Amino acid sequence: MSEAVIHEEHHDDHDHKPTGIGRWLFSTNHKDIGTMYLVFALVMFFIGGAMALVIRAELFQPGLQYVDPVFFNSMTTVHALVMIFGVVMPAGVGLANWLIPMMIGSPDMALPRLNNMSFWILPFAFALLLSTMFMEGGAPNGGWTMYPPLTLQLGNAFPFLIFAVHFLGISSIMGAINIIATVFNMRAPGMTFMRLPLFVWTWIITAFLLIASLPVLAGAVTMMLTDKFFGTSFFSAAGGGDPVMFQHVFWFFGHPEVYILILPAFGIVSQIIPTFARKPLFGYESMVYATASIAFLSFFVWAHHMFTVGMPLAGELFFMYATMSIAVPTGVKIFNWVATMWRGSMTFETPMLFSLAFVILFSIGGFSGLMLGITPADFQYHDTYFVVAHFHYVLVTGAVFALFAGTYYWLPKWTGHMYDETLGKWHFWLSTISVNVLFFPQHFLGLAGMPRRIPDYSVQFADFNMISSIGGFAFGFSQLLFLYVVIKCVRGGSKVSDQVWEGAHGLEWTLPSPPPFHSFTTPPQVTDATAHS
Amino acid sequence: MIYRVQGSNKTRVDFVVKPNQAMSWRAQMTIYSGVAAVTITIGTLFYLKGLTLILPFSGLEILALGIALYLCAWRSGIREVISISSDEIVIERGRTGPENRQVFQRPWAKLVLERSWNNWYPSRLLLRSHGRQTEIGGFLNEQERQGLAELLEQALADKTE
Repeated sequence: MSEAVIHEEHHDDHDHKPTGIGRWLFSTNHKDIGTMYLVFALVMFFIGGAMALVIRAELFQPGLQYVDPVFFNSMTTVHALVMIFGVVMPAGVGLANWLIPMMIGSPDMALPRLNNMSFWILPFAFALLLSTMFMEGGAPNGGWTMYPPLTLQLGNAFPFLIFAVHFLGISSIMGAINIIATVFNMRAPGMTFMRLPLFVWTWIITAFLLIASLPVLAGAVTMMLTDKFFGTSFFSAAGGGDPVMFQHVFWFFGHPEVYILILPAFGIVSQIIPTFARKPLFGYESMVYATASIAFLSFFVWAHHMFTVGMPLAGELFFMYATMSIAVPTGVKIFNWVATMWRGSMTFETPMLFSLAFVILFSIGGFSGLMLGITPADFQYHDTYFVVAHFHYVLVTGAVFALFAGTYYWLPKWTGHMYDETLGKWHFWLSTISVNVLFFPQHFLGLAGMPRRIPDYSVQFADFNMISSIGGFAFGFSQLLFLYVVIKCVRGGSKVSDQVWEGAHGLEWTLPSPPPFHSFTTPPQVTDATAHS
Repeated sequence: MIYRVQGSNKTRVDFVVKPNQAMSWRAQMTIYSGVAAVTITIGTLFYLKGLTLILPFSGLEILALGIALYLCAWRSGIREVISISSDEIVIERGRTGPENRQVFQRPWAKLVLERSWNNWYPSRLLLRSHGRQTEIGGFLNEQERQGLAELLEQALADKTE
């Protein structure tokens, strides 16, 4: 007689999770790794933010106040590298790790060990980068774009910078490969591509952008390394090379990188607005095609960052028109978000407030981008504070505000507790008012001719700089409130239901709050009724 | 995913077990070829402009993506067929056809669902007899594995098979 013995050595609960430091060091669980990415991004946000406050303190008044010019330049350079590679990208990957398996109905990412490695490379890479602040010659100070020959003149920091960039690139590539493999292979039955939530769509397109653009950055910085240490002359004019070529190569990576930062933000906002408007997303398919169009066009606009280097008129025209054309799919997206809200039963919880601010303020950043894309106008704006104002409207009130919105939106799902809505709204209003006080006057400074990356300036710029610095400190300290709200929510609060938000749709809201250690132990059946909206 | 196939004479029951695969290998290769073509073209154009060190990185990255997709497809292409007849249990594994076949004497076979000691890893469904054991449905989700264990338990308990 055969024996069928089902051993249950432990209680029948699937929510088993390992404990202690090993849980985090060796974790292959998508939620743990997502949490680590998000915590890492938050820590780096405060490190990069502290550097921004050094910059704004120095610029509070004309003249040299607190730091020497070389250190000031290090601050602008490392602040940018930290915020781009240490905050916005890891936070986006953290959200992807947490949400993509839950949204597509999969138990975990396709390649969990790769996932673990791609995270743990990050702290190592940033340890390399930040250690340069204590080296002879100081931290990198030639700008985050690392243009030669200035960056080649760096001291001991140079090879550390190059290897840090390599490691950050490797980490991003591993993350991108994992996301592609997961979405391709692990969607639940019935979860066709056109039923994927917009957040998943934006991430898979971002992953392909990373695949296409990062080898260019890796090659460019390696050629700088060989120019410095192995006698090549890729970018050295003395040896027959061309330093302007580096700018072309860098921005061939750099412009898609801008979309790598902002496309996941589009995805977050596309999840939140339908929830609080209590309507399906308007024009889902056009949103997908618009995202893909933006990604495609991003490879044909790189030279708008360098109109002033001297290029043929035909080149300037081509890049100007190509840049203008990106406004079309971006306009489609903004129209769709507004149309989703049109006649919706809207409520204004903190995630929705941040999403609304995103739509309005990102549009301001988009419009100033259009101004910069017009070649003759760019000759005046280039390398002024107008550019600084433009990209901060895109990256702070765009990408970072979307990350705030996403955190408030999914934090109750992750923790099982509702955050403090009153404090969340305080955080929103303090951030939104102060960020405009911080960056809006910088448009005027730029139009009046104040160059970027300078520690001292003419007295005619004093008033707007003082206002901007006051806004900077207010915005910086407002983020301590965000930290407090997050910690308070993690530690406790009122229990939330599985759906959390009345208007929320999608598979992640069918899981318990907080979700079990392994997301879907059985693939859910997805139909049009249970898909994203 | 688990499919139960009952023979007409009711003396044998087959279970076909396979992992969930959302996209066919052919479709994945079509997309992969497009991505590879774009990335390698970019690297080649820079190579022709004298910037020779971009192409090797493009190649390495496309290789890594290809390996990752192949590993996923390889893992999801496996099938296990568990045939239970009155006197034996046959487990066949393979991709395009049976590549591995194991036979257990039904009267002596023992089905065990074993959890890892620290509950960190998924459980294992094992068939044991005479000092031999084989894992069944190692690629399944946890709940599917428990479902398979229950189905096999019922099939083994049913004396008509």
